[in-house]
Amino acid sequence: MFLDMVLRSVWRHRIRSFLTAFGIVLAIAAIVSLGSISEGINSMAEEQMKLASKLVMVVEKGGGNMQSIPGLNSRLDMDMVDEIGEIEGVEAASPTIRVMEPSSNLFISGVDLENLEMFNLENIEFKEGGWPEEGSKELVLGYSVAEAKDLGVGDEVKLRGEKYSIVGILKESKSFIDYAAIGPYKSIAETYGMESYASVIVVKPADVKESDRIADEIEERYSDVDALTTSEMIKRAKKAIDQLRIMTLAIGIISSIVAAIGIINTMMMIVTERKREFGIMKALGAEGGTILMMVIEEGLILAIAGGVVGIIVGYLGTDVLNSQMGFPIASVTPRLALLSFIYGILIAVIASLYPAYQAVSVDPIEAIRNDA
Amino acid sequence: MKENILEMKDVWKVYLLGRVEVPAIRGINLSVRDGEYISITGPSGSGKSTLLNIIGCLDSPTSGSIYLRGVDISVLSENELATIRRRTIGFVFQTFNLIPGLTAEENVALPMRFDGVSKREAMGRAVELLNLVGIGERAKHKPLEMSGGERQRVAIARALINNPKMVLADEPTGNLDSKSGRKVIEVLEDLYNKGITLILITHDEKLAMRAERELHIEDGRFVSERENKKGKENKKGEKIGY
Repeated sequence: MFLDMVLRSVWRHRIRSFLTAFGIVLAIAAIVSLGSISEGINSMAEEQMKLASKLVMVVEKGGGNMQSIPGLNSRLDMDMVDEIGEIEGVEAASPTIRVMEPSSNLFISGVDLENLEMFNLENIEFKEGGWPEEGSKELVLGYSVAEAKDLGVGDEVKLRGEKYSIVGILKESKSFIDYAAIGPYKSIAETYGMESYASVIVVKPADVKESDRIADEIEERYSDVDALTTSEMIKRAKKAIDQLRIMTLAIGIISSIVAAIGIINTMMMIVTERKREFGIMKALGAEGGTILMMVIEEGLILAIAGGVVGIIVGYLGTDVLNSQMGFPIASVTPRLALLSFIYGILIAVIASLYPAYQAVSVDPIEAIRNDA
Repeated sequence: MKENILEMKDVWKVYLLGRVEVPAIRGINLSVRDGEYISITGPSGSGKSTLLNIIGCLDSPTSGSIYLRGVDISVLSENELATIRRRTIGFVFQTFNLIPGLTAEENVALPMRFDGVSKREAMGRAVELLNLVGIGERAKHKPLEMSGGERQRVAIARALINNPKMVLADEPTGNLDSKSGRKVIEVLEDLYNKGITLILITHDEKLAMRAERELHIEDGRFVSERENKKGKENKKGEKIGY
């Protein structure tokens, strides 16, 4: 209603307004970027679970926690593949290699391309091209990595100095696969000297209900491995996410208290400076509610500006985080953005209430006294 | 005979200073006819301002009754009093009391916007009123860029924006040179000539004599009352020679 006057007041005290809004920016950005990590891990874990469902993943002990790519630095003896394959109820066991190409920061997964259904990859869709031949020096790229590195079918990349040509680009799947390059198991093993090691042994039970028993049996037999079933991985992921959420909440609360104190301080200054103005307005017939709204609107404008910038800063921070990690650990979901924005607005309104009440309580008689 | 716009019966206002009761207004009785022009004079500390605050619905009496256009204002809520201040009463103060950050037209438009009228409509009316008081060309200027006389005319335009029935002017020429003061009185008496009730508070005897009725207050009581024939002649638009 009095937005023009309120905006002018914000502009008149622009440095003070900027600093106050900056406090809100920091609070919202902290909530967004921290919240995005748990959101990101959550959504990625969910997609990953779909791919890994029904399977048991065997990794080196401790190599399966959700804070890193499962099996990335794990080394399993090749003999294990055949031994596990012999366990009762196991339909098949297949080695895979997961390595990070240091020269291009490319995450490479070497899988047995003749047994794609082992990895739930048989139905994956291509944006262009198709699967490489087993034994060839060819790669398939996930959607996001192809976008990020501007690579397409026909391009070449060097892995440990060896040339691999790209023969396929996958469609976007919103899972971890988007950030991976997949190549034929044997070629990748050769290139990285991993012929006698596997990063992850993927085990397919004949009956899904057997997977927990099989996992237990594997862990019993080999003391230095983790055998992760889908339910186990979900449990681990949820635990990590919960810890992150508590951290997000704590930092969110602390930073918003700081922001709220900033708002209260600024609004009190404004109200004190304009005490006489508010008194004159009351004398001229402004109702308490009108003056209350004028002050709260000013707090709201700071919160809206701070909230929008905060979400953008948080989003950019998430981007930096993701590019540092090499894969999308964090994601700013619309839900997260909206919730943090509403939270910021709420904090501003609550913080403006007391200063607004002070403005409403100004005595108009004091304001209009001739000696005032 | 016209209905009384204001009716005060045995109005007291007592302030508490610590444990001591200090009466500022002691049993005032006052009837003002609709469209009347009265002046109230008195030395400082006589209760003039307290009386004005009570008539202006800014302060409530300790005892006694006040009827404004037939409504007992001593029982109204804060918001109801604000509505009366906005719609029925126009205030003109000695120190103008304009909002420094707003232009003349925005200052004038303010009480109309408080009444829920859109900014555009209120600004249109504000410019009309600034033209009426003869400073239309200063509409976009801020108070600090204007002379005292101009500022007071902005304040008068502001007092008029919601078509009040009564204008309360508290020492409207107190901060002005005599030439600007004359112009301001001219504008105020023009309102009286158009039928608006005018209550003028002043310590200037010559000015007080221009009213239809002259009241003198001392120690919270009216001590003298005088009907002025000359005051009535003002209706014919006599030249101001005070």
